[in-house]
Amino acid sequence: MSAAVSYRATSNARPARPAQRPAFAVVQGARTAAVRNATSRLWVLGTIVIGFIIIAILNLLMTLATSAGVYQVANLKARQASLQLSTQIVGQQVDSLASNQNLATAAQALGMVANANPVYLDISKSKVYGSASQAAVGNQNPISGNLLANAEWTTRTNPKQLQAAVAAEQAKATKVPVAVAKTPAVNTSKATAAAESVASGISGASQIGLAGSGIPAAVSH
Amino acid sequence: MVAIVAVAAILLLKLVDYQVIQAPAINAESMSRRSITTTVPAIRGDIVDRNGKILATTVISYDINVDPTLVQPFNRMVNGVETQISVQQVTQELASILKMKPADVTAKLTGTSRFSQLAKEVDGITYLRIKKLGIPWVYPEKVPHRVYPNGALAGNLLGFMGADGVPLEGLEYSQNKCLAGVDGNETFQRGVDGIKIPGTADVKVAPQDGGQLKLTIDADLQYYAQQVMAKYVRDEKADWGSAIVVEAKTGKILAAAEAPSVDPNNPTGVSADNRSSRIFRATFEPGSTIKTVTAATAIDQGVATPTSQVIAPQTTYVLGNYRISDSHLHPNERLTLQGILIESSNTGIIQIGIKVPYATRYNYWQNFGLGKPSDIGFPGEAGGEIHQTAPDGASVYTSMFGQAMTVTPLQTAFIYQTFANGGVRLAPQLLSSCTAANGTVTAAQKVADPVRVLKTSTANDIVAMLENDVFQKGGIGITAQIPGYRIGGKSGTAQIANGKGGYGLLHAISFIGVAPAEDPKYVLAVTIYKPRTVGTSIGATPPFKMILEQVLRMFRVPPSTGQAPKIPARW
Repeated sequence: MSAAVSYRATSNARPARPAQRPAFAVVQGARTAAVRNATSRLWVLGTIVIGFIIIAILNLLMTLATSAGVYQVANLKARQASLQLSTQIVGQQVDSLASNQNLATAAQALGMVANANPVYLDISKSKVYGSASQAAVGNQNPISGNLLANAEWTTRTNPKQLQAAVAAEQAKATKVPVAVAKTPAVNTSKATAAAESVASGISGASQIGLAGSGIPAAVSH
Repeated sequence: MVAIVAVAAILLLKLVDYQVIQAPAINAESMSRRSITTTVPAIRGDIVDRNGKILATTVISYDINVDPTLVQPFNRMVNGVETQISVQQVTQELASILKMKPADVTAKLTGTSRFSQLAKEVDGITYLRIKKLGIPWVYPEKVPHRVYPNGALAGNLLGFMGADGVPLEGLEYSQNKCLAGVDGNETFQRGVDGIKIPGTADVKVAPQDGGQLKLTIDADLQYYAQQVMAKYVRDEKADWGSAIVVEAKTGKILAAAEAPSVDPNNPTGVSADNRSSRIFRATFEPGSTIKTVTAATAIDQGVATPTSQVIAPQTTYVLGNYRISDSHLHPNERLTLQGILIESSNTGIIQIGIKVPYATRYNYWQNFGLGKPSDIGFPGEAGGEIHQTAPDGASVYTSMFGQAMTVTPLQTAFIYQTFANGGVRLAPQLLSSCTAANGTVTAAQKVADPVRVLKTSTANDIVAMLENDVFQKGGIGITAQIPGYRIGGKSGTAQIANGKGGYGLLHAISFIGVAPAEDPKYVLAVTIYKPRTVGTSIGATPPFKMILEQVLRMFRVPPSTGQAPKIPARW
C-alpha cells in the first residue's frame, strides 16, 4: 500500500495534474508472454494427447504383435511336438534295430558264430594264451535263431541286403564290381504305403539303418 | 432432474456393487470359464543295464477317442478338391489303420455318449496316420506308454505294468519309488479357438520325472544265457530253467536268466506261472550241490579233510531201517571226501556229515544265507526252508545231501560265491543305483555286510575239490570242462517231492561252478526243473559250459596256466 496514489478534487479548477502520475508504458513482451504461456499450455496438452495416442497405438501394435506371437509360439510348439514325435518314432526304430534279437539274427545271417577257443595276447609278456582255431559251426554252436519274444521288434534288418552290402564292401576293397540288391536294408512291419507317406514327412524312414557308405548300421553294433 | 439424479445414483450403486462388492466373485467365475487346467504327466524313469543299455523306457503313445454324438460326414481336400467323406468310408479307413473290424469301429462310433475309445495306446506312426485323415470328431490323447526295447531280455526281472499304468510285477513294482515321477499341471486361459489369450498368466506345477534305475545285469550276457536256457528247457522238455552269473568278489549278479521268459511288452503272451522270476521265488530241494556245504562244514570244524577216507556202499541203513542209496549201482567204494564229491555219493557224505552236530550244521546253513530272503529288492523273494530242529531222524542224514530243506536258485549260487570268495558270503546285488531326474545318485539297494562263513583255508580246499570234480574222471563234472580253463563245479540231481510224503520220478538237475579256479572271478549256477528227456544232472552241464564259455570270453579272462594239484579220490 505504500505505493498507493491519492487524488483530491477542486472546483473550477482544472483538474490538477496529479503531482506524481504513474508512468504507464507499454510493457514490451507482456502480450508475448501471455501468448507464450497459452502456447506452452497447448503444447503440453498436445504432447499429452499425442502421447496418449502414441501409447494407445503402441499398445495396439503390441497387442497385435503379441497376438501374432502367441500364434507363432503355438505353431512352433506344434512343430516341436511333431519333431519330438518324429524323434520318438525313429528312436524306437533304432532301438528295434539295436535289440539283441535283431543283432543276433543279423549276425547269424552273416554266418557269424562265437569262437569257443579265444586266443589272448599279453603284450607285456610277449605271451600267447590259448590255441587259435577256427570257430566251429553246427553242433558246437547249437543255438540257431532267436528264442526270445519281443513285441517291440518291429523294425528288422534285412539279411539279404545285409549280405549284399557286405559283399559290395568287400568287392570295393578288392575292386571287383558286385551287383548290390536294391531292396531296403530295413524291413519295417509298419511301413505300409500310408505310413511311409506319413513318415516321409518325419525324417526319411527309408534311410534308417544305413550308414553313409551303404553298410547297414546294425553291422557296427 | 430428480429422476436423472436417481437413475445416476442407481447406476452408481450398481457400478460399485459390480466393481467392488461382487468383483472377486465375478473375476473368479470369469476365470473359471476361461481357464483350463490340464495334467502334465511325469515320465517314468528308464531301467538300464550295467552299461547303460536301456531295458525299459517310456514313450508317448495315443489313446484314440471319439465323440459319437458328433459323428457325421466331413469334408477333406482330395487332390485339391474339397470332397465329402462319408462315415462309412472313414470307418473303413479307421479299421484299416487300427487293424480292427469295420463292424467294431462302427459300434464304437455309434451311441449317445460323448466319449468312446476307439483304440488305446497306439504308437506314433498310427497316430500320424489317423491325424492325417483329418476327422474332426476324433480326439487323440497323449498317454505315457512303457516300452521294453529288448522284449523278453530280463523280462522276468523287469516285471511289467498294467494297462492303467500301474506297476504289477518285478522291479517295476518293487522299485516304483525310484522309477515313478510326480505329475504336474498347467493352467491357462484360452479363447474360443483354444489359443491362449495374450497376457494371461500360466500357473504351472512342473512334473517331476522318475529316476533311472541301473541294474548290475549285463544285457548281452543276459541275452545269451536266456537263449541257452530257452534251448535246453525246450530240448529237455523241462518245466523251467535258470542260470545265474555272479561276480564272485562283489556279489553283483551279471545275469539272471530264465526260461520260459516273459516279454513285458506282452505279459499275457505266457501263462501266469511264467510271468515272474523263479530265481527269486521258486524253492526246491537242492540235492547234491549241498554236499559241498556238508563237506565244507566238516572241514571247517576240523573233523574232515579233502582226503578223509570212507567206504561207501551202494546202500546203507540209518535209524534201523531208513534206507539211503546212491543214484548209481556200484560195489563198496573206498572214497576220499574228494571222491565222495566226484561220485556224488550219498552213502559216503553221510559218514562225513554225521561227525558235525545238526545244530552246528544249521548254523552254517544260516551263515550261507539259507532259510531267509536276501533282501535283494525283488518283490516276493522266497527264503527257502531249513529246520532248526530236524523234523525227523532221517532228515538229519538226508539234509547232508540236499533233502529236507528248500532253497532258491539265488541261494545256491551264493553258497558257491562263498567258496569262490575265500569263505566270505557277500550280499547279492541286483540294483546298482537310482539316479533322480535332478541328477542325484543314490544306492538303489541296501547291501548287507559280508558274512564270514568259512575259514579261508576251508574255502580254498572246497574250490580245489570242485576243480578236481571237473578234471578227474568218475563223475558228471568232467562234462563241464572248458578247454584252456580251470573250472570247478558240482552237480546235483534232486528228487522232487510228490506231495504225498514221497518223491516223484522227475528231478531238479543243476550244476554250479566257479571260474577260473586258480582265482575265482565268476560263479554260475544252472538249474533245470523237471527235464523229461534226461534224468541226471548231465543235462545241466551243456548249458553250464556254454554260458561259462561266454562269460570267460566276454570278460576277457585269459586261459589258465597249470592245474590244481590232484586230490586222490580213492584210497
